[in-house]
Amino acid sequence: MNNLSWIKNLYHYEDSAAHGNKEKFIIAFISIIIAGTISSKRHSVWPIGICVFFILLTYFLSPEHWFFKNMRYFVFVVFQTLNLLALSLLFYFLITPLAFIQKLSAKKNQFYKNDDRKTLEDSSHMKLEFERLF
Amino acid sequence: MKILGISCYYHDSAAALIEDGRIVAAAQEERFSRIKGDERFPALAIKYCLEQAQISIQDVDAIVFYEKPFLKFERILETFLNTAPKGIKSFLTAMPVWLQKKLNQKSMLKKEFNKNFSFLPKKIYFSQHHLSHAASTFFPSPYEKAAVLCIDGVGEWATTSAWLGEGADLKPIWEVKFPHSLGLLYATFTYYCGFKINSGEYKLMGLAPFGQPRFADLIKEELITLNEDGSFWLDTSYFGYIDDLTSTNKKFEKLFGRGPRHPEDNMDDFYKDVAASIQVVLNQAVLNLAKKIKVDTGVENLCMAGGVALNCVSNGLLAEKGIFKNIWIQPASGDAGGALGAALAIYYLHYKKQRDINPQDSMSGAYLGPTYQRQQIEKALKKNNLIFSTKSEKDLLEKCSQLLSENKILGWFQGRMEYGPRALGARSILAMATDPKMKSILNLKIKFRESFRPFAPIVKDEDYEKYFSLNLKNEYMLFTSQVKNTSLMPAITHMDFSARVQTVSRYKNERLHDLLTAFADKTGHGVLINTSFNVRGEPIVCTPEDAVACFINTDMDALAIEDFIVIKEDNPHIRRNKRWHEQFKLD
Repeated sequence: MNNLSWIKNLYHYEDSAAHGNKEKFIIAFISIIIAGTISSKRHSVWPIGICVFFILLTYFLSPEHWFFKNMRYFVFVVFQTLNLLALSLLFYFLITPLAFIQKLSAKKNQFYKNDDRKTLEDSSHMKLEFERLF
Repeated sequence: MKILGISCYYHDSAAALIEDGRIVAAAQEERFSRIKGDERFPALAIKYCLEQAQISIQDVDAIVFYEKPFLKFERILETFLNTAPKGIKSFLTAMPVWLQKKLNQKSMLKKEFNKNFSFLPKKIYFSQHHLSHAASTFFPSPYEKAAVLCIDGVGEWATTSAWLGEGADLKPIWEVKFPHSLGLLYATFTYYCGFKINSGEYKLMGLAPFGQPRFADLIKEELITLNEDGSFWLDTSYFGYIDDLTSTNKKFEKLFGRGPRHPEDNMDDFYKDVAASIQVVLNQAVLNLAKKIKVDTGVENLCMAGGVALNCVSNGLLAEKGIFKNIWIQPASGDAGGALGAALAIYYLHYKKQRDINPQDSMSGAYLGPTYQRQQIEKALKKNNLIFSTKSEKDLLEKCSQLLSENKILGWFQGRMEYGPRALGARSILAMATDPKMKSILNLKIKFRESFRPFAPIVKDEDYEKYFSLNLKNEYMLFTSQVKNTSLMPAITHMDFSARVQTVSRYKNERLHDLLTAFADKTGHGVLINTSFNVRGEPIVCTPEDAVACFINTDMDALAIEDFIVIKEDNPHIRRNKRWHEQFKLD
């Protein structure tokens, strides 16, 4: 698949496979740390599962992989773009809104822990209105 | 000012129309579409409401939906996020529906109005699920001031809520949020005992007296913590409703040592005991909540709504305990009642209108559905080649009471149809309560339903204390009461010597009241069986055509439809389709 050469250049795979792998290793390491932290906070393997899935895709499916070798270059480009996009989204959703994560953590308590098991909540502050959908 | 309230897209959709605070019309969509628990946009119910009020949709000042879809979506999304990856099946089932349809509920509703009524509403208002329930019970109640308790499965987040109603105002006090829900707990056991959720809860309630509550302590130890402050906490690891498509999970089944009962399997003692146990737990939880709201409000009157408020056994116990001097429960306490509540809520709380209190309540006996003209009835009878006669009021009552005293089963189709799940003497099947065989005849030959299911009695309100122990008006069949002379009326006396009695006042249903008088004159006892005019799985009849079809295809002996009377014996030429009832999906 000679047509892959330009994309290989883009990713510097021609220069050094080790160099590309190093970058990927750093990304993978950071992802695992963040996802692991979130997973442990939320008592769920879900974030780390997604993270590992994408790392596997980026780390092992290099342009030299048989999957890409048997495809035209544009399929590879589309695939890698989607892959990176998904990774970006993952980072966006899992890292940026810390408040959201904290909220989830609090909800988790409501769902499963709730040590004192008292569930009455004051609702006297609740605004009764009819204009909004929320 | 005319306000249209609607509830739909979950189960049992409905529409209600109020004019200057007066309830003009209210009905469930299932009665018109003939699909039990129909959850679609209530186009037919809205059409009826408009016809009843003799207005067009353009004349309506405000349209209000009974809950807030975004809050509900937030709850669903957060549940998935909190349970991932376990809830993937449930996630994949729910998300496409929400993303494609339910999130666009505002535009979806507008499109439906445009499609069905060629009218594009400029604005649609949105109430809240529990606010709609609270408004549906307080505003039509006969009280100036009352504590309001709403208990159901779940709306947006709240599963139980307490309010204080005063005049035209309704203030929230406290609430319990999802996943801790008495409605969902009861629904889980409904499923476990082989009944359908959202329709089989009353069967579970009817099954309970057959069992012993030997699992009640286990339920309280493992599944639910009942706190002294009235709150309750569910151990969600036992329930499937959070992260699965079924209500129970393996842990739940392991706890009881058996899996869920298959819907049509024989009912054995184990499930009877389970039903008895959950009823005991529910009773205690409801009593705790009532005590809490009494302490918090200090008022004498209680209003209740939400699906759990249809549990007559808990209600009966609550009344018996005397925590509140008066209790009034919305007869359409399920989600269908949300349509009415949404309309009333916006009228009083948004538009700040004055409230006129009717000392008899403002529900008009729940007779808020359609009535039919003489020509329409005659057409339905003739279409089916029935030989019939027309009677004067006096002769009709004489004939009907005579038939009933001869142990005949009578279809009773009179006046406006009921709003809510109960048949209250407008679309009813009536029979003698003193015949011990009547229960099995009705269950197996007329209703085609489970043999354990009890039948409710009706009695004139002035005769109530003669036959039943609970000293409380029970016009909407919402409280059970102990039967005083159990051997006298075996057909309506349940295993625990209770009955889900309906008291009939002349003010609200004159003709039925007079029928009871005529029947008492003949037999000495003015008590009859009153069961809904339908077969199992069929929505209660709405039109004369529905009533005639049910009459022809069951073993009913006579049909009194307004002033017309049809006797089966006079119509030997009518061929019954013995498989007619199979068209209705079993509930």
